[in-house]
Amino acid sequence: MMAILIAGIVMLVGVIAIFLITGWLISGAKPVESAESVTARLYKVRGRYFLLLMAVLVIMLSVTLSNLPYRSQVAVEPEYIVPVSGRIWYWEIGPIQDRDGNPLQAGSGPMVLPLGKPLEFQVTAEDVNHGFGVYDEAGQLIVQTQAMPGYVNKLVHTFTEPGEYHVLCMEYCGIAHHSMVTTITVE
Amino acid sequence: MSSDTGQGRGVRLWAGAYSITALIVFVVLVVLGLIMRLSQSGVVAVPADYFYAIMTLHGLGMAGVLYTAGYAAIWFLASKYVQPNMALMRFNFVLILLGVVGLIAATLIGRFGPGWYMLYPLPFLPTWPTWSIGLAVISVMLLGVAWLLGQLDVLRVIVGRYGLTGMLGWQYLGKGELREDLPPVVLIIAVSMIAGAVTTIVGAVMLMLYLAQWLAPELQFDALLMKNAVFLFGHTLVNITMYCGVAVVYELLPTFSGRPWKTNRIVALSWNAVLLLVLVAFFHHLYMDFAQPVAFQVFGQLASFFSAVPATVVTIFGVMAQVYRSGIRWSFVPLSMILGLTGWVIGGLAAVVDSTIAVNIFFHNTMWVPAHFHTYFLVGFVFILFGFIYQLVGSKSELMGKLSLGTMLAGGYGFLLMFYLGGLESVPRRFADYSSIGISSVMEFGQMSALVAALCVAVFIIGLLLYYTAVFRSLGAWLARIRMDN
Ligand code: HEM
Ligand SMILES: [Cu+2]
Repeated sequence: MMAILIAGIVMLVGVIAIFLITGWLISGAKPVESAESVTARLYKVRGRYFLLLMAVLVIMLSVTLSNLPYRSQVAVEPEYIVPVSGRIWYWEIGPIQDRDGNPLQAGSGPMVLPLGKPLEFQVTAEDVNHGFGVYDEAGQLIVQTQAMPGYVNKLVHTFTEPGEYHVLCMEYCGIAHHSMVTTITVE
Repeated sequence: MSSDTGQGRGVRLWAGAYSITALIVFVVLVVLGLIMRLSQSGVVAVPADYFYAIMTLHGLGMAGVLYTAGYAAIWFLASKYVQPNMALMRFNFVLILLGVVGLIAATLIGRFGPGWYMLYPLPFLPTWPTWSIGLAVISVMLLGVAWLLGQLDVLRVIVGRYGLTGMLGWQYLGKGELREDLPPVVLIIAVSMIAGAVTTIVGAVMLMLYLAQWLAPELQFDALLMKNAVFLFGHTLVNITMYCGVAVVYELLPTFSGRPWKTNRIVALSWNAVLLLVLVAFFHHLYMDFAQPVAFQVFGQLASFFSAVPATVVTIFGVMAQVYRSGIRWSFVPLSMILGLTGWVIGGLAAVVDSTIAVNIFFHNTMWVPAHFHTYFLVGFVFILFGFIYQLVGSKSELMGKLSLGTMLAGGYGFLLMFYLGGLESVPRRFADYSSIGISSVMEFGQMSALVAALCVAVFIIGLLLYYTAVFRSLGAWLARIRMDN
């Protein structure tokens, strides 16, 4: 996942820079100079830093805010609907439906989802809050949304790799939260 | 600061009582954290209901005790300029103690375990006894009442001396004459206490609904609304705790650097901005609630990103202006302050990364989340608080102190690194154990990193004990000085 890689790199570089600055500050306490001359120089740097920071923030905001996961912001039209319901402490997924709500699959049996088709997961919960998190075979969390009682969260996703996916509960929901897992097959 | 900065005997005594109590509670809560990491590593089998009860106590306890200690610190510092009500401080001590005892009973005896933010309607699950639910809700209410009273009292005396707009430094924004300097510590306290009071009132209303639901189980409230309320309260509480720490730095660092730290236009502007940003940033907790209006989600990211501006441009450059080429001697207190701010900035960076919606979809409720807020607190606020307490009791154990700082630094960052790596590896947070996940790579990484983390915590605890030695051995002399000061 690109986003995770970038996040990791930003964090690593950032932490190193912050430690270096701390080290520089600690070792830079001497030789002594007057507060006025230090402040004058620092204020110049601060002005430049402020502009740089604003530029970085605005650029990052415009890049990242153009790519929101929310239903109204997603251009793709889903071909199928997958109802998901969380309850203590298991998942009910499916049956998969076409866009008019006609089931395509018998109600029971292992969950099989089509490869390469945009799906709309309609995620809700029966009792308390849960979190619908989908992990790929490599153990990477690829997509998630909350499952909240009284609300339906619509999550659009297209699987691009066949295989077995795991669903974990991403919102703490009581004493068996950690075993609220199931699998989805994509083919 | 012992007797030279003007705080009276009672003020010093009560600041000390709060601080020492906080230290005692803190180490117990750290041990609970260690137990959780051991359970997650698979080395020690902790039954799930105990794990989650411990997790709830640890989270509520840490957030509560550190806010309370931070409040006591700013209360002490504010007493140099204004006179908060002493009787209230004593009364609150009892109230808070009662709340803490109630929470301990609800969690450790009742096994009440909905997690520290008690997300509605989870607390009302019948998996723990009904009495434990009521006891926990009432206990948190006691804490909330004590905090609110404390916030209002400090605001009352600050408004009394500086005026409503004066305490916010608005006189620095216009062109008018300055009647009186506004110490930056007062400005920060004003901002923190306003944000705290407003959101604690929201929290109090929410807790009353919880109480109502406990008494009348057939009631039902809107889950999304309750989630917004709980995070407005909880997020702000932990943020203003951090600001209390920053206020301590603004007040104490100048006594070591010998350079004044004054409010000016930019300082005033930026803390007013903080007041607005902190009240909106909590929306980033609800990014994965797709039913939340998109505008709120965008607000959340904007506010979170722009929080970086006042924090670094004003506070960090302010610190640089304090110490650079100042000839400051790096004794324990300034060292703990500057290291604490370092932790604050690192935690802030991790927070900004996670407050990007496009990133949050991969990090939400993974270990990245505890990673960032433990950074803020464990190697941020806690270091600053430790510096404050060391100074308060007038400890002179420099060698011991620095040894402890180094040890806590090594153990603390090692512990945090495992959280961060866990987040990058998609390890979910709040799992009592990873063996039922069914994905071997996540399970193995989760367990291995938890074990390494547990070892690092052991190192941290050694550092903690060294620090306690440095503080506790000077308590006797501190008390004697207070008695003599009569
Ligand atoms: C060495 C000290 C500490 C250790 C070993 C520790 C350990 C832990 C662990 C293992 C968790 C559960 C992580 C998970 O979600 O799987 C946790 C959660 C938490 N910790 Fe700490 N922690 C420490 C210090 C702190 C401090 C200083 C704070 C101050 C705010 C804090 C506040 C919390 C909170 C609020 C939670 C979340 C509880 C929840 O999810 O309900 N911890 N900690
Ligand atoms: Cu769950």
